Amino acid sequence: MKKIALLFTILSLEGCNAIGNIGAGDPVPPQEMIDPNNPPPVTPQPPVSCDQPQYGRRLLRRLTRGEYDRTIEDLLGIRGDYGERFAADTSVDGYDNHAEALVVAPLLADQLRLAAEDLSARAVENLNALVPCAAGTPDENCATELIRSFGERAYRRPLTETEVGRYRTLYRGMENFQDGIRWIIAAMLQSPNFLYRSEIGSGGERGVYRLSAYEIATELSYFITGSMPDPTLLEAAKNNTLTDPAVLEREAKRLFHSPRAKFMLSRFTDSWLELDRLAEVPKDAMTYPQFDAALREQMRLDTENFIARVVYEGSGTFSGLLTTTDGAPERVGLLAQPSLLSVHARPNSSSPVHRGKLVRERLLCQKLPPPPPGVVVQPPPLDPNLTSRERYARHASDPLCNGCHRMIDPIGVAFEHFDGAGVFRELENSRAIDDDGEIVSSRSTNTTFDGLSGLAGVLAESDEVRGCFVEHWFRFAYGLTPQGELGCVLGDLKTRVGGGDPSIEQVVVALAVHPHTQQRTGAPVDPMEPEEPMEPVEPEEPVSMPPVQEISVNVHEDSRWETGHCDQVTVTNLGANPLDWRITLSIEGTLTQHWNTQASATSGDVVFEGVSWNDVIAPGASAAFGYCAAL
Amino acid sequence: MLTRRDLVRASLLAPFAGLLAAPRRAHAQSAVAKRLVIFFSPNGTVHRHWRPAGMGTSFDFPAGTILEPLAELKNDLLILDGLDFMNGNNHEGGMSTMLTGGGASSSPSQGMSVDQFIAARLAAPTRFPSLELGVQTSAWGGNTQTRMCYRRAGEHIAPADRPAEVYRRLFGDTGTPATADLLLQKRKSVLDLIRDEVGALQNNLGTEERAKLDAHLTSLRSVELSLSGSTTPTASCDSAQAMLPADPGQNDAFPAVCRAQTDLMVSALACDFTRVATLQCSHTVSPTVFSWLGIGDGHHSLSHTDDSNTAGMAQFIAAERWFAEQFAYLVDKLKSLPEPGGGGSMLDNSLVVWVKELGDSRLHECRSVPFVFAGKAGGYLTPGKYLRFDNLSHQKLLVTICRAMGVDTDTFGDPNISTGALEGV
Repeated sequence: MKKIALLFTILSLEGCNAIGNIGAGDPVPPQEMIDPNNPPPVTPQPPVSCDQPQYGRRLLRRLTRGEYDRTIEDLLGIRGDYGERFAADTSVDGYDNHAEALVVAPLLADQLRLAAEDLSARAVENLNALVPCAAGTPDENCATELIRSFGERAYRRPLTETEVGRYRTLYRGMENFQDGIRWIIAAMLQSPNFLYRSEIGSGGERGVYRLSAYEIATELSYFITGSMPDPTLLEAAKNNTLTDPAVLEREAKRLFHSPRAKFMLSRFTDSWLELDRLAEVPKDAMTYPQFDAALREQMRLDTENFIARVVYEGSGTFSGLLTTTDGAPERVGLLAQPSLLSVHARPNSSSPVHRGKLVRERLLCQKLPPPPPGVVVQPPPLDPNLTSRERYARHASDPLCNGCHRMIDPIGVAFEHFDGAGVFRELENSRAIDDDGEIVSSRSTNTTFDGLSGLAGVLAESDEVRGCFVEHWFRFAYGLTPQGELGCVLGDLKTRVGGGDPSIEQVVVALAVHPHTQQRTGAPVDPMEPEEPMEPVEPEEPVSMPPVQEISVNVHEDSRWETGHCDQVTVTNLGANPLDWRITLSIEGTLTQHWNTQASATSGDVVFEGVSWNDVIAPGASAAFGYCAAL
Repeated sequence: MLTRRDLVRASLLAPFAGLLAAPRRAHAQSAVAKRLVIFFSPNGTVHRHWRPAGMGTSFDFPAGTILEPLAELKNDLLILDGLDFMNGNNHEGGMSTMLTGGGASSSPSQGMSVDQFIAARLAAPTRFPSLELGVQTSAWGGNTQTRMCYRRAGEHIAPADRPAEVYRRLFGDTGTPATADLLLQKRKSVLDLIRDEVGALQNNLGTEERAKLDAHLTSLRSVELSLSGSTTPTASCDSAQAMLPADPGQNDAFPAVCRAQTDLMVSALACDFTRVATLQCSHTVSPTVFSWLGIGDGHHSLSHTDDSNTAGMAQFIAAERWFAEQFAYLVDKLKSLPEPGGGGSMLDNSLVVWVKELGDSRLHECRSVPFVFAGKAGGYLTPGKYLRFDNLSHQKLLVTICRAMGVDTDTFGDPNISTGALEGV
C-alpha cells in the first residue's frame, strides 16, 4: 500500500453544517500524555514495515498503585491501601499503567518511604512467621538467609552476591536482630528492583535482547493477576521452562482460570470504560439520596461479579460481555451496569452526551474534539415537563451543535431508560422515552438501532468495536501506546485473535504469548566498539503518483464566524484497492484544532493523514475528518 | 455532610508534634525571605459578576459580586484584569499554559511552571524546594486537565491531596527527641543502599530508561533533604489547628480538605520548611458539587450557565464567592501571623496569587483571565489597586511574579510572544 499525496486547493466551499459544542457538562476524558505547549516533534519517519516480527523496546515498568497493594499482600500478608493513597500517576488514554508515565517523582519517593517504614514495622511484629530460621538463632546467618529468601520474592529473581552484601551491611548498622530485619524489609520495599518490573533482557546482539525466564514470569503474572509471580510460576522461572512457548501458554491459561485473575478483569474494565471514577463521582444528594458510599461499593462489586460470570460461567466471549443479561431483562450487558450508567451521567440527571461519548471514544476508538472556543454553550437546564432527549433536542436542530453532536447524542439516547444513578425508568417526567438511535461516521458500524439492547447487539457484532477492544487490551497488558513498531504488534495480535467473536481467554493468551513478551529491542551492545548512533534510516521509497481519479475529496464548511471557521472533509476511495491516504489542503488561517486526522503544519499547505481508525480506506468507502482554524 | 467524627485532631495523630527534635541546622538566612503562594480554582469566571467597580486605587467590590468576600482585604490586593493566554485556549490549553506561559524545553523557562522555576532559582535551604498541595485533584488520574505545575516541559507534578499525610511529612515523622538522630541515620543508610541499587541498574541498562532512573535519583535526594533539614518549628508555626478529614476524596469533604491544606501550607511557610507553595482546588472541568451551599449540579455545568438562566447564575456566583472566601482566609491568615524573622506580617513578605485557567467559562476562551495578587512581596508590589490591561499576554504577569520573588528574568514561557513585566503593580 502506498501513501497517496495530492494537492487540493479549495476554490469553492459548499454546505454549512456547523460544528459546535461537545457537551458542556462533560468531563473530557484523559488524553494522551502530550503537552499542548510542547507537541512532540514531527520528525519524518520511514514507514514502518510490518513484514518482520515486531516487538517493543527494553523497559522498566514501575508497579502501579494497585499492583503495589496486591504485591504487598502477597509478599507480606498485609492487606492495605498504601498504594491507593499514593499520588495519582499520569494516566495515558485512561490507563494508569503506561510505562513512560510511571516514574518515581519526589512526592512518590517520600510516600514509598513512609509506606515501607510502616509495612516493615508491621511485618516484624510477627517475627517468627517471617524469618526462615528457628527462633533460637536470631543472628547474622539467619538475617542473610532472609535476605536471600525474602529478597527472591521481593525482587522476583534471586539476588546477586553484591546485593546480598549490601543488605548485610545495612543489617550490621542496626540496633538488634529485629531492628535489622525491619530495615532490610524497609529498604527492599524501596529498592528499584522491587518497584520496577524488569523487562530488560540480555544479549543485545544486533539490538535484540532476550528476556529472562524470571522477567517473563513477572510480566505474565502482573498482566493476569496484577501481582508478583506465585510459587508455581517462580518455580517454572527457576527451571527455565518458561522460554518454551507451550509452557508459557499453559501457565497463562492456568493463571487466567485462577481466582487471582478476577482483579485483572475488573481493572481492565475500570480503565476501558472509566469505571474507576465510581467511588468519587459527584452526585446530587437531593436527586439521588440513595447514592452513598455503600451503594457505590455494591455497584462496583456487582459489575465485577457480572464480568466474572460472563467470562467463567457464561459464553466467555467479547459479545457475551456486551449482550449477556444481568438479572432483569433490561440489564443488557456491561453497558447497562448501574456502575457505568452512574459514572457516565451528570450529578443530577442522565446524560445522552456522556454516554454517547463513551461509546464513540472507548468502543469505537474515535477521539472527539473539544468544543471550539468562542461558542456560547449551556447544557439544557432540568425541565420537569420534558424528557432528557427532548431537553437536548437543540443539539440536533441547531447546526452549530449538530456537527459534532450527531456523532454523540444519537448513540447516547439508547441509555435513556436509565437515570443518572443507573435506575431503570419506564417513563421520564411522566413522558414516554424514545431510546431508538443511530451510529454515523464510524468505519463500518453505521446503522440505526432500537434501544440499548439494539445498540449492544450492533456493537457486539462489529469488527470495528472488536478491534478497538483488542487495542484496549494491548494498552492494558503492555503499558504502551500502539504506535510505530508497536502498531505492527497490535496488527499482529488482531490477526492472532482472528475473526469472529473471540473469547476473553483467547485475547489474554494471545497477548501473553506474543513475541513481545519474550524479546525486546535496544541499543546494540558491542563493548569493542564506541557507541553507535541509531540504526541507519533507510531512504524512503519513492512514492509513485497514482491517478488522481482514485480518490475524491469533499470539503464542507461547517461554520464560520468573525475570527474562525471549521470544515469537515470527506475522503473517498474510488479505486479497487485499500487506500492509505494522505492529502494536502490549503488552509485559510491557522489551525486551532483537528480531529480524526494528523496534520503536518498549522497554516498554509497542510498535509492531512489518517489516524488508527481511518488511515486505510476500503474500496468505495470514505474517511471523514475535520478541523477549525483561526482567521 | 462532614461530621465532627470524621475529623481527627492532628495532634492525636502526632503525639510528638510539640516535642520536635532539636535543631540540626540553624536558619541560614538573616535577611527575611520572600514567599510565593499560588491558589487555583477552576472553570473561569463570568466577568460582569467578577469585575470590581472603579479603577486604579479607587475601586470597590459591588454587593453580590464574586470578589466581595475580599472587601476587608482590599488594600492588600492587586486585581489584575485584561490578561490573555496567547498560546493556549480551552480547558486543557488553559490549564497547561496558566503557569508555564506556553514555554517549551527550548524556552528560557524550559517549560517549567512559574512556581518550579522560582523554586529552582531560589534554591532556598529549606526542607522542601516547593510544596504542591491539592483538594480533590486526582479522581480522573493525572493528565493535562488535572495538573498545573510542571517540573519540566511536558512533565507535570501530582499534588498531595491527603492532609493527614501532608501533616505527617511536615511535622509528624521525626521520632521522639531521644530517637530522632538515630532514626535519621538509619534512613540515610537505607537511602544510600537504594542509590547503589539504582546505580547498578543503570549500569545494566546503558542508554535505555536512563532518564527514568536519573529522575529516581533526584527524587531520593529530595527525600534526604526533607528528612535532614531543620524541623524546628518557630513560635508562629504551630500546626495543631489543622483538622484532618478522614476521607478527603469524598465530594462533601471538599471544604474541610481545603481548610486543612490551607492551614498546613501556612504552617509550612511559617516554619520556613518551604518558600514556594501551591494549592490546587479541584481541576479544570471540575465536577465538584457544592452541596454545602445547597447546590445540586456540578461546578463545570454551572460554569456554562447562560445569562438568561438567573437561578443557575446565582448558583455559579455562590460557588465562586465560596472560593473567594477561601482565598480571603488564606490571605488573612498570612496577614495575622508576624514575620518570624523581622517586623510586619508574613503577608508583607509574601506574594499570594489566585489563578484561573479560563476567562469567560461559557466561551471556553482564555481571554481576560482573572488574576488576583495579595501581599507586598517585601515591598516589590504596591497593592490596593484594580488594574485593567489592554489584552496583554499573561506571560508578563509570570515575569512579574518572578521579579517580585527576586528572580530576574525578561521572559517567561514562549519568548517569541511576550517579554517584560506588568507595569503599575
